[in-house]
Amino acid sequence: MNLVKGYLKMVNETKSSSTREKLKLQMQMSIDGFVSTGPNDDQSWVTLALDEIYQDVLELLDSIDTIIIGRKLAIDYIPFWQRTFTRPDDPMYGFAQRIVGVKKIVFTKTLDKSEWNNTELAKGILVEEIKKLKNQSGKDMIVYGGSSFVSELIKEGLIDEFHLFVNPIALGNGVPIFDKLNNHLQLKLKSSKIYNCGINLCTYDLI
Amino acid sequence: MNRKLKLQVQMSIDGFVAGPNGEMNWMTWNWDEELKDYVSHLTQTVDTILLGRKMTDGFISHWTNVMANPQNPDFEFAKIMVDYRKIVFTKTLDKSAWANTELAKDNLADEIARLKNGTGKDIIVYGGAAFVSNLIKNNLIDEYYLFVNPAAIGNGLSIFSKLEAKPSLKLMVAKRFDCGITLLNYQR
Repeated sequence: MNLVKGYLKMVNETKSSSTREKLKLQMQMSIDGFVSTGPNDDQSWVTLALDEIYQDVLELLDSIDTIIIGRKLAIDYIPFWQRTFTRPDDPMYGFAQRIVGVKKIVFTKTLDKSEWNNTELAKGILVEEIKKLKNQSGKDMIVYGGSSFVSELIKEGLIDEFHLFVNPIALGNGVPIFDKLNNHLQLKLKSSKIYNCGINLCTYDLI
Repeated sequence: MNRKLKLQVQMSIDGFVAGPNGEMNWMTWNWDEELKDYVSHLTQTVDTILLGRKMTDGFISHWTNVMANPQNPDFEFAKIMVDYRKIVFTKTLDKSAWANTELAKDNLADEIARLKNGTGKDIIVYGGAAFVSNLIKNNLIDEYYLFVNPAAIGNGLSIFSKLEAKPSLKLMVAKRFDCGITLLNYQR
């Protein structure tokens, strides 16, 4: 009995001190692989179906404890969700609450000091900073953008799990996230989920 | 219109149908049985294949070669490709040099409308990229069968790059196959 207890204690300790497993990416995408259009990152083409995808988005967010984000997106993104968090009847309140609550790491070469709560700066080399984060203990991490930051992460093979919401529209041109790849990136299809609104959620693992 | 025009293409996650020089080495080739059955069924719903002039030679000689060898696993499919009526869209050719093949030299939209108003099963197009781009740009594709391969290739040939309007499509079916390919079936 003591042996079993000892074993369980050991397993639990190993688990609680285990390092993160994955960096996850979640993005809205067009059929032809773009994540936004134009110089202002327009996303008005994204199918609005919050009620349908919200639960899955929240579930994914509950699997992580850290958001990594490029500086360009952070300066709008973080204040936006802070403001939403002040409005309890906002339909995205639950999302905002989680975003405000978890740790955010802003990747920047130019900022010297973070002016946001729960936020740290990462100023070193991308690959090394991410490796350092993956070696820490905790839950998984997620990145939502921006597009050029995500392109760099993909190019360096740092995204472990892709959650792509493929919207039922073709854009013709726009901002891609796979454009910096030097080689083909082979992925493993994990799941495919269709929503009534016409979005298809494709989940891939890095091989 | 009696007949629908269906598009069947292999696509990368980032929306390309081939590498910049037509490379296809990113595609999944070991299709599982379910996917083979699906494509075979789709092929049975059509009796006419549209081809852009540029890919015609390669397409027809490839399937004719496969058909010459009954041991080839693609033999049955090759037979269908060779037997089906094929229509080659061209401004330059005067005469078809291939079996079961006709030329269409008129305005694209008019030729397609004429075919759709004709009798028979549905019509299918497999490529090439430039020809399909024109069909999409002119909103002539009724059903899209996009087989999304589990690879991103960074850049390559697109079939949506000529779009002026941004067409919203209706997602009919999304199907995950064990070999890693996802079918996205959209309607115009």
